Amino acid sequence: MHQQRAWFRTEAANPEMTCKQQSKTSISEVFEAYYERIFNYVSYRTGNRYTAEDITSQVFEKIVAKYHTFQPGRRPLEVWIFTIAKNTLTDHFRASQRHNTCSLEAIEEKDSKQSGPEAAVINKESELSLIQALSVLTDKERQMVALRFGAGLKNVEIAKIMNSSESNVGVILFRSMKKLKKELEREDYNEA
Amino acid sequence: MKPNTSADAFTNSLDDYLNHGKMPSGTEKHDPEVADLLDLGKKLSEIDFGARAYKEQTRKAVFAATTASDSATIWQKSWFIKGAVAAAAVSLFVGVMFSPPAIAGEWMGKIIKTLSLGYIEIQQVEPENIPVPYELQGKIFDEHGNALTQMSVSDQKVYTADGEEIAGYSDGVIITKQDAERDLKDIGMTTIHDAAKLNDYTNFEVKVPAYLPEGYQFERAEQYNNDDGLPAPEYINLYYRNTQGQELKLFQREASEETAYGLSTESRVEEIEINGQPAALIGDSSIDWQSDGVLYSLAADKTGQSLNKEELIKIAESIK
Repeated sequence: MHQQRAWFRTEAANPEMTCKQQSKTSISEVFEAYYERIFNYVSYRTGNRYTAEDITSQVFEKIVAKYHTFQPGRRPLEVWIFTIAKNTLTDHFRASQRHNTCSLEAIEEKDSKQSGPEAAVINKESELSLIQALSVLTDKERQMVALRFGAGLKNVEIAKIMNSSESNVGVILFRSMKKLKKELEREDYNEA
Repeated sequence: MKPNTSADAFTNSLDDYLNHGKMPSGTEKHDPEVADLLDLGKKLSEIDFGARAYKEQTRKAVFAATTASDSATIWQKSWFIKGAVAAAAVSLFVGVMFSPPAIAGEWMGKIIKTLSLGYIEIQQVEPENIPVPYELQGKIFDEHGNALTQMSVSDQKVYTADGEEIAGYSDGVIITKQDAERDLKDIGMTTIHDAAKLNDYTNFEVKVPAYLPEGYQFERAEQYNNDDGLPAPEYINLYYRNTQGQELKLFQREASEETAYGLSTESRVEEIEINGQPAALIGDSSIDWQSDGVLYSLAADKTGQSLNKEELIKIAESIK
């Protein structure tokens, strides 16, 4: 005997019943709106496209599973979503027992196969430098950079996710940017 | 310039610069370091990690996974029914109308209340229109043949592209009303007219109400047949009728992961107790509860003069 799953419900009995509550975006719309941001955020943290794809799927499975518990108005959807993403990554890192620093193979592989116009190659190279430069950051700094530029979150939201204060996030991000800039200049200098 | 002033300038201008590409006038001239860092920030936010390449396959994987897998959502856990008992049979079981539901996680609407009663999950939702779940997009139509993008969670008949009325949705398959009725016929039912034989084909002790309102008597019991033609021992449906022809249904099933069920309704759901056990009173005309390893669903006939909730509770409490 095979198992089936079905949903069912009773007929409407109380048409006069109204209950004003905040409306929730549908899960399809959530997927549309957040897919790329989550993918980018995860890519920042793992540096590997294939892992990013895998983890992004896991994050969405969790979102779908828990969405019925999310109450709009208690906290922003973004904070809820990226907290799930961050926790999924924590689990992943713990499980894989190695802190992934930049794994550039996947990204480099894609580029070496392309012989596109010069402009496209340069773009990729500069992106590669940026990603490489991330390795000078501490784990916390990198997490914040990922939330700011990968997930596209504001400092106040990052603060909630990282259990920190908005001003502290600002300070750490500024410091991270300076470190990155210095590293990029060093790379440029070395290449020159 | 003091470091913290630059930090502030950077922090305060970053949002604007990322979103609109504009930095405060004079930044490049007076604060070139900040200007550089803002530029760097923009580049970081524009890195193309190749997300688009995976989007569609991820979408399919995620939405398929959540309907097929045995994940932890309360929906999936509660909503399994076993074996030959097809989706249509379930609708008989709880005496409800089967309608196209939302996928786990899709039923976003406004969940007003959820009652968890062991293997039974009752959810009260607000009547409203919800977007058609991803899996059903392009597959369900109204009576005029227009593809639906929104569906009402209340009684709304929906149809396939061929105009067949849809009874429900289960495990990735749309079930038409015809399919459901045919499945039921194929399944076959065993009818029992002798109240003394209720335990003959069941796994559990079938208890009956000691109290019945005036005029009601036991009419018959029914069991669904398994593939081998014998009654499935986990389920039994009792029917009582009064002299006016009104029906009272008492459906019982042995409580387990496989027989567990869930129900979403727009009717008011009230948490009550039946002999100290938590129970759900739905719309004042039915009560669902679990007791001693058995799931009970008692439903009054809504046509004509129906039994009030006090009577229903009295009947339920007399089942011991």
